[in-house]
Amino acid sequence: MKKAPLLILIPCFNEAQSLPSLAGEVEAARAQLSMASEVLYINDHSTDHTKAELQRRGLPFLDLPINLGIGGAVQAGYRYAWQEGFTYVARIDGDGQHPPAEIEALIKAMEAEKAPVVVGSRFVEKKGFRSTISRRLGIKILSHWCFWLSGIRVLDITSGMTLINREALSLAAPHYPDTFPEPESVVLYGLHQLKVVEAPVNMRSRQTGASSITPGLSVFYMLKVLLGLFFITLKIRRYGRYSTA
Amino acid sequence: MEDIVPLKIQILSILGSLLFLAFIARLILKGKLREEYSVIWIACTAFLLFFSIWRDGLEKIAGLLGVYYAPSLIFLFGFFAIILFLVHLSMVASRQHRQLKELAQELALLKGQKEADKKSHEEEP
Repeated sequence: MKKAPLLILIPCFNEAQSLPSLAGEVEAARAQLSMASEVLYINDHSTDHTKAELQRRGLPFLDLPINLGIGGAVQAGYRYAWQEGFTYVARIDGDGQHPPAEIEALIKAMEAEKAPVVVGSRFVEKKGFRSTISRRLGIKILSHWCFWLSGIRVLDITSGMTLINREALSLAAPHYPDTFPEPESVVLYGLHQLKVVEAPVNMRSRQTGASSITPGLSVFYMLKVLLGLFFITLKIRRYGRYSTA
Repeated sequence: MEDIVPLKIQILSILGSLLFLAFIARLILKGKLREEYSVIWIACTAFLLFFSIWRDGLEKIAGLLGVYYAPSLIFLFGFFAIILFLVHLSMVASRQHRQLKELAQELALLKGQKEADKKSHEEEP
């Protein structure tokens, strides 16, 4: 049996509530996609029934023995994709914010722009759910900071909806950033001369559960990401690039 | 020469240092402290013991360095040593964080592999 070229990664932390509808949507979307795909859920050591729900539905998943946070969980998926030889890896969140059908928009953008990395963006065309004003401001600051540091322009820099090809995967599997990984990963790809483009997608507000970034945490989040962006830029500029396959 | 450090305090501090040394040794023997970390604690005790025995040593060194109030030298060295050690511990924690992450990912991948093997095994016969 020939393997599908595309792997869809869905990191889940306490998403038992949203899993039933999400799993249904994912299956429906896969039937419509322009390339064959496989799905891999990643259970980031959830404390609710996420694991039981995944098992009951017979969905393929990686089961992390400890909670690694979104960065470590996604990286586990990227390592799997690298080992198994997938050519493309899409990543959507487990909370239902990213409609799986929109993966097609990412595939189209990747083909059209010949870009190794496509980020699903709420801000290219102003449509769908675009988050609260304070969040948008935070994202804007991060986006400008990233551009100023590295010269890479991505508007929706915290978007967790991405599609990467195998060239980018060769970086992501060993070096995907920790904790709040999305903005730093943009710099990681960009400074390795991998073109990062944004594709307009419709997002929704999360269906169930709470954001991992609570108001109290958001100040910490901003500082961590601002610093993280600074240091990853410095690291790659100063100590050279990682080797890519 | 005038006694800078009274005898009572000297005996107390020597006893205290020795007790601390015994405590560290006990931790190592019980396997609760790795030898690599014990080195710094033994060095600290040796330092304390050294100045407990050499009574006016602190005054002399302070005089050499031009420090007017000798005990402030203790604070300076103490703070510096503690901060260095804390940075060292943060480095250890960061390294262990990375190692734990890699182990957890490896374990998850192996578990997934095992499940897949089991499934294909069931399908075969």
